[in-house]
Amino acid sequence: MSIAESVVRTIEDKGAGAFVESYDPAEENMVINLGPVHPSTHGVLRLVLELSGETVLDCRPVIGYLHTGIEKECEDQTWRGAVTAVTRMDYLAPFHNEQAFSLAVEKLLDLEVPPRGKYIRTLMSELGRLSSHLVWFGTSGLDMGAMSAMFYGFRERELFLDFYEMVTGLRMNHGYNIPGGVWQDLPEGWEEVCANIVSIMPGRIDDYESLLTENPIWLERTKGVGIMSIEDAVRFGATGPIGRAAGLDWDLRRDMPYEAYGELSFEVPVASEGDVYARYQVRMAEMRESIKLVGQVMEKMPEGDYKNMDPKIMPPPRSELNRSMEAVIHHFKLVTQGYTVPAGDAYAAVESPRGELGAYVVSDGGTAPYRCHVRDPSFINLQSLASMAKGGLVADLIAVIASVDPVMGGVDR
Amino acid sequence: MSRSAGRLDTTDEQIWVEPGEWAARARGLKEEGWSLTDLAGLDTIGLHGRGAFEVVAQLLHPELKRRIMVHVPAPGEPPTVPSVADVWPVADFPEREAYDMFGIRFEGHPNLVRILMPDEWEGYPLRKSYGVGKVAIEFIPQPMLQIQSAGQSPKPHESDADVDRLGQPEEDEMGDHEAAMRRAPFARAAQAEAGEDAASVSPLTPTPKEETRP
Repeated sequence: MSIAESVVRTIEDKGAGAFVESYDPAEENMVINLGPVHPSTHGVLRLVLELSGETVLDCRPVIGYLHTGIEKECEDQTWRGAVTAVTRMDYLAPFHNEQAFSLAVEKLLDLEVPPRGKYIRTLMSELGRLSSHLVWFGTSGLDMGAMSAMFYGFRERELFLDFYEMVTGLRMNHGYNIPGGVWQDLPEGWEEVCANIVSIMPGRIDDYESLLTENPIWLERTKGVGIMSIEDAVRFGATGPIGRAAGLDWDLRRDMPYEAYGELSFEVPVASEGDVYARYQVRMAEMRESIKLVGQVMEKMPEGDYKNMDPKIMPPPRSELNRSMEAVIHHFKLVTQGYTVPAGDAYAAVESPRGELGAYVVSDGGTAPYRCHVRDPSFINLQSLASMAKGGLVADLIAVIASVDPVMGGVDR
Repeated sequence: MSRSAGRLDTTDEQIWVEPGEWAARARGLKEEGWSLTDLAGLDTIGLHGRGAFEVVAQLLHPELKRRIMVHVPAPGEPPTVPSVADVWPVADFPEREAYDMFGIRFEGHPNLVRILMPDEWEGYPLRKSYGVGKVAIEFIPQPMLQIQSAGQSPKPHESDADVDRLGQPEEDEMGDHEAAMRRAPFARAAQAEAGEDAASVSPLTPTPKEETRP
């Protein structure tokens, strides 16, 4: 048992108190607690570090400070209602949470989403990737002293949040993707707002790159820092940008297409260095690809239904209720009781901004999920943190955490 | 409208593996090129004919671009299955989570401790026998939040009886400490109302510890 490991146990025994927990004068190793309340740990991530001087010998994440029992909550909701719970997990990628859950439920229901529904989901998913990467850009810049990065990142994010509000009514936690499609059509005038985003963003990303890409301080802080080999990426199951930065050429959008991705053309940026700078480059390139994807989706957006109109699954439109008794009955049944889903297990995964986000859903044939488990990429990616941090300096660890981009809402669920 | 009701197996291939064979089977699957993407516990008590607990692993084959779902029943109490953290190191956190949430023991796991709940937590929250609201919410109503003047609010004890405690244990089922914690504010308020040395037992100040006098 390493010192850090034993210290995690003793701290848990005593309750988290002191920040220096042990000091071995012979070894001159020190164990220090970073977080859970620390501005650079992106939420309530706590790391127990074993240090020799300023060199990190071991690093163990201690999580659970944001555990809210959403998986248990889902078991108390209807299938439609669970979407509202699931969307609150990874709060920077709400569309992806809903999408994975909805895809899994659709597998169980054997339910087809109409083409327009698929394209709307793809649109929101790519915009969600952009707005999530903007938060990563802002916070990781801030962590390494590039203060203005945060202002730029959060300024542009407002464009996206305004669009989400226009489409879903909410800026975060939308509950927009539901089993069978999306719950309402895109509003009038969405093309102009989207076109505005598509025309503005490439120039803004050029601005970001001119700030950081060749900035000597940025290069000094990121190049050759926090290296993860491709073997470690496979061993620890790293997916998403951090896997691709290590050379793992895998993207669910391209390799196992879902929604409309099979009909769109895009590149998957891959690097091979596996350091913080490579992750920066991969994410920047991904943002550019996402803008292209949004443009393609706008061009190809089909007309027609935006959700499966099966009356046993979807409440009828409001206008129907005045005319049809059957519609009233369906509406009453769906609102008071919800629909049943055939018994079975299903797993569906999407490529979220942080990697593979999967939902494992079990039905016992009732109107509520029997079990809803979410494989959150932040949770899995945190396991590889130690392999990146070992041997580096504490200051480098801060850069590494920023480049992994963990969202604690997703880690702890 | 493509929808067929009543299909049981609607997803990727599913296989069932006996717990005794799981570790060896996992090694074989890994050599075939399967990698583990996810592992979750499952309380199968409500699923007909599927035992009590299961571990469900999602495997991905990046070259074949296929997924399979592996079900491993976890028999016994505590339910036990072999760990695959040595086969796929990525299983470390998910196995700890399944232990934390379902109490499933993974034999051979290097560090099987709770991961999301506090170490001293009792019970396994995602088991079906663990009801929602079973644990007393740690928020204790403070006397200062209650209107104390006569005629404006019911007596603390009466209002206490009306509160729907959502399946929380009755006082006599609780430990002494918890019961005392729950009673404390009301007891203090009652004491203050009785006028016993109102200054020292004011409901706004915490109860002073008993002083030992020489």
